[in-house]
Amino acid sequence: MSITRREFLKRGTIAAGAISLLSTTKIKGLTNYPKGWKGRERVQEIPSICEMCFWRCGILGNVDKHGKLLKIDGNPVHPLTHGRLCARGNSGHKTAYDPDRLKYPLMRVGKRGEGKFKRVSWDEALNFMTDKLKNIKEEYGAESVGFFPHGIQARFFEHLMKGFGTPNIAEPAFAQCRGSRDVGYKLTFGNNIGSPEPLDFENTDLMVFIGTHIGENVFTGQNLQFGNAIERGAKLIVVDPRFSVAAAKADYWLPLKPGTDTALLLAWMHVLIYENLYDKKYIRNYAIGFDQLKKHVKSCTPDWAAEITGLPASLILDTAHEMGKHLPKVGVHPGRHVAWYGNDSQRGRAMAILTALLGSYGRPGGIYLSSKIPAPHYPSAKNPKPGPRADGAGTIYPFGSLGLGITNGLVDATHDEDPYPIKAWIVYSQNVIQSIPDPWKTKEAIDKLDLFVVVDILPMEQFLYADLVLPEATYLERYDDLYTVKNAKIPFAAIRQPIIKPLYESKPGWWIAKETAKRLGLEDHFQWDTIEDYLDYRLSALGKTLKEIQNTGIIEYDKDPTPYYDFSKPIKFKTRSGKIELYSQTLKDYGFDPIPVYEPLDDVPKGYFRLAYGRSPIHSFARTQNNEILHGYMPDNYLWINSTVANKLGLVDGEYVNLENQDGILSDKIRLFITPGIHPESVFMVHGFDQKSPFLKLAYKHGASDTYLMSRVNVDPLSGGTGMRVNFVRIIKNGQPIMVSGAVSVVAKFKKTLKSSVPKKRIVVPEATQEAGESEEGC
Amino acid sequence: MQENIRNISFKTFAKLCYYPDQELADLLFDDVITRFLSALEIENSNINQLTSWLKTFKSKEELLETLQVEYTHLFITSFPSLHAPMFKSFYYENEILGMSTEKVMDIYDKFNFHVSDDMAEPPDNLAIMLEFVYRLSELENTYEDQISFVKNEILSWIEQLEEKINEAAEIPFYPFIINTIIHYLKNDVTQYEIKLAGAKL
Ligand code: SF4
Repeated sequence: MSITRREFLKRGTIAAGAISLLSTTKIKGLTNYPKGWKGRERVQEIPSICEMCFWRCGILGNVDKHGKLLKIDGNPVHPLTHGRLCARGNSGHKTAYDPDRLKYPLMRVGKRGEGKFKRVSWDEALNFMTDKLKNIKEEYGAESVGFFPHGIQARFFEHLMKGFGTPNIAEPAFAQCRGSRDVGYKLTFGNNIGSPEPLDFENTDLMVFIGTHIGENVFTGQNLQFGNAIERGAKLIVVDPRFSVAAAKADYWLPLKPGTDTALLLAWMHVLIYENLYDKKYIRNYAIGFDQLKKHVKSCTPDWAAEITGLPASLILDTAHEMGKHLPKVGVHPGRHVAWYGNDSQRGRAMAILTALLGSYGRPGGIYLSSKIPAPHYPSAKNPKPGPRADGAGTIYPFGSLGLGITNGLVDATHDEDPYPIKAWIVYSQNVIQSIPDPWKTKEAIDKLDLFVVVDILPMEQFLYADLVLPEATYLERYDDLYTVKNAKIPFAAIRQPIIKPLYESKPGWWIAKETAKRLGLEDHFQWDTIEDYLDYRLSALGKTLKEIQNTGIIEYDKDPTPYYDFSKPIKFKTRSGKIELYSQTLKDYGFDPIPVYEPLDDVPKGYFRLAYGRSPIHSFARTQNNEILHGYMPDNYLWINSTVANKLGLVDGEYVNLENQDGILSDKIRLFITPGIHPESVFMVHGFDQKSPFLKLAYKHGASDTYLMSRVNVDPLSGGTGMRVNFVRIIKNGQPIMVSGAVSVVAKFKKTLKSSVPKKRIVVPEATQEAGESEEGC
Repeated sequence: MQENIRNISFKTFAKLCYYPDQELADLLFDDVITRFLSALEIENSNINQLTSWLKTFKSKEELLETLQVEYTHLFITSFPSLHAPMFKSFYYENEILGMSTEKVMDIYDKFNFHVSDDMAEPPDNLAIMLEFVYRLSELENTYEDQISFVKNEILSWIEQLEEKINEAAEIPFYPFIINTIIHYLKNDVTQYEIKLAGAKL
């Protein structure tokens, strides 16, 4: 190869022009440092907020001389998390540096689902999208564009979509998560519960968790508060068909039959009322409908509930007595993901009514009140008046959120083209195929679209169907809107700021929205010049500039730090009557039960199990399975199955099985976790596994997907939320169903091994769950 | 003169490894690159096959579109096979900007280079690394550094990249290009070692 120019030219006379042409070719990946350059900045610690899940704990990014993020620590000045992070928060850098992440805008060149794309410039991408949006708006109206956002990062684009004129904005935080709870509490107290749940862990004497999974559904701040409360000696009642992490800390574990929670709640009310244990003064002064409630729960005795729930009546009675003893310092946790059975708003209301009877709403040790934090919005042009919604919020589902919308309602409308055709979807940081049940319907709805845009960080399954993919910068690479937390005892604001530069051509959400606005002629909605100007404006009412809080990332607002009612003054609740509504005339007027009624669910068919799903502390939804560290800790999910049932079926712990649901849909293989800690009627798996996008090299086809087994839902008639625990599965081993013979009705006793150094807490389990000859002590 | 050809070779290889632009399509369509490669007489390089493949395109635009779709498929997304990331730290640490990237950045720093602000690829992207050798070759007294960089920072992983390209490629272009680059680089190192051995003798 060592050749001279002369030899070279001799070898290829026709190459004569090549050298001169190639020497003028432009390549420009490298540049010289400017003259006088003295090296990179020193190592830095940059405060921001996490987004590995939606709790947004305070973080400090440790950056090296090359601008590389080496590790993430907790921000010690964060008022809720005090420098602590969970496993996911600590692993965030692996998401930023994930080789599978979306790197450039991509335009589909193959068929939908084929995954064939061409890299395009941002200009081409945004022009393509906005041309299509304009055409669709002209032909079908602005409302024919559906927007599916998630998180604060999507707020700028949401602002844009409102300016564009569509009413069809929906995120799963309502219909697939906490919407029904908020409806129940709002109908009772006039307020949503909000986030994080304002349970006064600091002052409570007794915590009551009904399907609340602190320890598995990890919010670092709430975990800390919970741990401190336990350490302080606060008692804990856990109602859960599964021996959850919280149940392991409980004084009382009530493993009721799935779907019977409302019966238990009514029985507790019965005991509190008929044994005169409730907070009489609080109810007399601030509530209406007590007499109707008293009459309503008269027959809901512990014996009645015992029959339904499978719990011993004595346990129902004992736990009610505990509540009566500790009121008002009883914190009934309102729950978070409550989209269970389709009757969830009424269950939420039953929990709210119980809270009222305990006198603990707006009182120390119960539920504290949220406070205000001034953070004005940047002046913007007025939004046009939107047309009628397609998702049914406020109409078919009278209490559906107009702010958060009903995702499944929007999918249905798109699928059925009813009440009108939806022609475009923009999905922003949301995972519509994994987070909304019945993914087949979602895909069929996508098929009906003229335009499907995905803005995301990773190539999730929905990416395969996208016409246009826009790569968003990760939370470590961007500014976002100001994060204000009203549900803290001292409300505060936190900033998200870039710790590292956006990789490849990913862009922050504010930039994507502002650039899109320019092309849609909606610049008036984004009147700020830079994101720094925008944040400065929002912070102005707090008396600070962005620059002034960049070193800490946080600003507290402690003007009125008493988050409880002042009973020396008149109190007006934001309900129709101005009082706590134990009986709801509003519900009655809409034709719903004014006081919650227990309605039995469909029985589990013989040979099947009710499919329950939930969280793990290692993963967030279906979002983190491709993170190398988290994948290392938990690459697959397991199927929890009751040990008595498993023994009868001849199943072995750790073996792989498939699941088939009531509609014949088969899951991928999943490993068994055989445990006495789950009700025999139910099986459980962690949500978010079996990612179907082959672009996610680590997560692809690991474990089984709960969503893909959800071919049915019960829609809550009040909120429109999807009850998802209404699917049944049977076990398939070596291609054959494994059948149970006869009903199994006894919960095996859970044998828990405690390290001697850990103080032993007495967990009360129903007698019926204890095997003869064994005492309660060992539990 | 010989250095000049070597320097243009690295520049051309870098150009071939960046995302295809109109200029690259023009140079390919007009046979400029194939003529150059052919004259290099790289061992095992079946330049005629590439030339005839290029002849199947009716226009530069069609060629550019094909190259861009294939580049996206191979190095950015690829479906249904695993894609072939074109940066070193994927093969070392399975992440973007791994420790091995930092080593590469340190070397760039040493010679007063950094990745341009408008370049979206990470510093250990093959195209940038080849461009670096080209830039070094324009500086005096860097021959040994160039060879050391080629040997330690490029040849150490490029064959794994080739394997992935061969698995996923839908057109013959990139398998040919990567194979040609590998042969050239290996030969370049061998020539240096022969020279070195000669000098010692
Ligand atoms: S709980 Fe964990 S993942 Fe969620 S915001 Fe906090 S640190 Fe991040």
